Amino acid sequence: MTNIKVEGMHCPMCVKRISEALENAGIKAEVNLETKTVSVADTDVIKAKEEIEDLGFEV
Amino acid sequence: MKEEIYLIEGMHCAACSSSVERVTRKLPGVEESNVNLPLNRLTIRYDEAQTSHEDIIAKIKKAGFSATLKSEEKQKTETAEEDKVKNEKLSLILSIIFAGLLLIFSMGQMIFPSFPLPDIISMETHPMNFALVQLLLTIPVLLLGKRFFINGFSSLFHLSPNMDSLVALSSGASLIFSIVQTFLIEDNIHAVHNLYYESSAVVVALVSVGKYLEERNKEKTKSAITSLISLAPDTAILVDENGQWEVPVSMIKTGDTVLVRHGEKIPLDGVITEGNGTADESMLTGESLPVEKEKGSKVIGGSICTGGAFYVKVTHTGEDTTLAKIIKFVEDAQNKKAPIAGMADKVAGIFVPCLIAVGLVAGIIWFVIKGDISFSLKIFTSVLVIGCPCAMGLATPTAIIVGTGLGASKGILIRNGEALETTHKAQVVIFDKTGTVTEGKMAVTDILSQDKNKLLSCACSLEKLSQHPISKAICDKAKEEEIISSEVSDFESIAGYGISGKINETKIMAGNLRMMEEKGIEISFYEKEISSLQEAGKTLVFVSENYKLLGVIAVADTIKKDAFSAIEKLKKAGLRTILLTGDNKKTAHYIGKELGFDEIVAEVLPTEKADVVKRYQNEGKTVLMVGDGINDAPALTQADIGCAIGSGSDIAIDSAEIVLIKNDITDVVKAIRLSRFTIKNIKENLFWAFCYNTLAIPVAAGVLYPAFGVLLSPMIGAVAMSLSSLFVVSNALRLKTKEKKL
Repeated sequence: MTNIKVEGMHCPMCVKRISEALENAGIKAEVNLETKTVSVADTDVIKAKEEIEDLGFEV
Repeated sequence: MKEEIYLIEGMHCAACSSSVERVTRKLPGVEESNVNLPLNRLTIRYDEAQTSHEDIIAKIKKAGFSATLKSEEKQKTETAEEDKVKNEKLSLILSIIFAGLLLIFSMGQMIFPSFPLPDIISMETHPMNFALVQLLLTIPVLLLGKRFFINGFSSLFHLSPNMDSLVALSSGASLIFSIVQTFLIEDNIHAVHNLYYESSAVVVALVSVGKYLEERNKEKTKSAITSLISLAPDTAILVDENGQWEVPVSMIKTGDTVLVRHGEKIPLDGVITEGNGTADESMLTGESLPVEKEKGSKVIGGSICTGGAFYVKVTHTGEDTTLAKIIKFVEDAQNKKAPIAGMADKVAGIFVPCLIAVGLVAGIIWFVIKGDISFSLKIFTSVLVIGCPCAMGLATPTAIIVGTGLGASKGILIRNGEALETTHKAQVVIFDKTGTVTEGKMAVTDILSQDKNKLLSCACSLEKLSQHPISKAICDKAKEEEIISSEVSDFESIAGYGISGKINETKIMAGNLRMMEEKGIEISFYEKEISSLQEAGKTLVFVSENYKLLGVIAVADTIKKDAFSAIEKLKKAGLRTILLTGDNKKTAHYIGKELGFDEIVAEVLPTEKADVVKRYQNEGKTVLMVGDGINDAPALTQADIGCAIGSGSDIAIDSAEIVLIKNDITDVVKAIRLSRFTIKNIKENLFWAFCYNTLAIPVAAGVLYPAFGVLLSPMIGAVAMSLSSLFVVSNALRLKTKEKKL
């Protein structure tokens, strides 16, 4: 499991957007608002980062 | 170079607005992109040769939001509204400034005798000027707050006084009394100690602050309509003897034929004349399982063709379509929603006549004792002056602000502050089924077979090649059990029956009961089990190998784990629970009984869902509705409190006052509890607001006069003002401590 640091996660709605987008891409992820990190399997890291950047966040 | 303004939906915080700016800036040819969060607006300047308007909308959609181009007309009405809001804010700030200055000026010398005031207006040396300055500072505040006087006196004369009446009465009394005293200063210098200009102004200023905060708490729910309208496509393919043309939907008449292909939206209500396929009618039923459509089947405008292609003869257009009726319903329901009379108004309504009565009685008694009419008038006015608590207007909005913040931290988004005042009153809770109490996804629930692994392997190998949600469920189960699938040849998909193919030269078929009957495959071995699964409303997939039954896989929507405890808690609290769904009766009853609902209503259209809500409202019950889909919009709007569950469609979220961001159904219970805490806090705040002023009323009425010669003084007024404001705000903050109990 790798932790991706995501800049700019402020509110529960942001969390929802990220988890939905990752789910639609078939990536299992845990989103933590407090630590501002997204945990994914090592193999999904690159794809996950892409998805998160497409949403407008900085990784 | 083009500059356009888009309306963005779904942005809730600064991070969201930065996201929209960031992704749009990445597009080629975009020079500038700026988001105005409070106005939900994106202003973008771009080179239309490199990027198109559709590209922008698509990019924003990928980021998780929705965007529509703002039309000219809407822009004009929006700027008019914005100006109105700006003006209100400006008047509020001015009121606060003048009231503040007045307070410092009038109280300054009383609290700090050495307070430096220019001699010409000092209380000691030029009392008349001192008073006049106060009058000058008071007038702007009262003018800016003139709506309180207009509304207040009008409500009073109509014998239904409210908070504004109390403000108008008390502030007016303070002003008149102070003006009279000002003129008396020439004869009696001590009159300068009887000025209550600050009581008059501060009460108006504080109530204005409260009203402004209240308005901010009320978010507009208009966006549900625009989202619903966007469900219908703009163009359709018209078919006539000359060929096919793409035309605007508005030009199509009843009797025309249109062609709808896989992936396209059905433009209008109609009947299929040729062809067949499947449609996603989740906007109507909440179920996204494809519905089989063939010649003679009715189709609905706004639904999506998910398979095949067909020609549709249009039966309804414009206002008569099902979608248009749903939209009209939501619009009407939204307009009919009356603003609730808040607790504060109710309390003030009772307080006003009591206050006037006390003042009159006190005045009369003193007249009887002293025979001095001016003394009696003084008593009467004093009672009115002290009777209005300054902090009254703050009681409700402060509690709602803290309550809303508390809810947000727990994943309960309150879109409309008023909801916090009414939610705890809910007597009936209605739940949508699919996506609300169930996961909304099909999953394998039962497997009837001698060799489970072989069954799953064969089924999955075939189903991998199909797009159906049932196929996905079967393959998910196979993946879970770590079953390997095999290569399939001669794959065939037969609409309305199932799929078939060859694995290692053996013919495998997976389909419904009809398919088995058609091919003459015996299923009596599992007859009993099949029958009970059918009663439970589950979807059955029969798998055969070489025309012999291999097994049966039952697929159904699974109930959310926390739904059980949520329904139980609601029932324990004495609320009536109802399951309301557009899905079929069997599944609804199975799930409804499992969860223990008091009542189950199934196979209803979206507007009929709202009728169920109305039925209970007509019995006088307060209804809370929980839903997630487009087909819940009318019911959510009609309900006293609409609650959208976070995983749901944007339209459901736009129609609801409360949004449960976490997909957790027990949050409904939490929301009710939050409302209970909030209303309790509002009541406590009102107590503190009225407490000090009410204690001072007897003093104003002259109770201490016989013994101590003490009557009302501006000092008492000031003390009451500050103590009540302090206690109200502190108590509202106390609501935060309820976090653990939520």
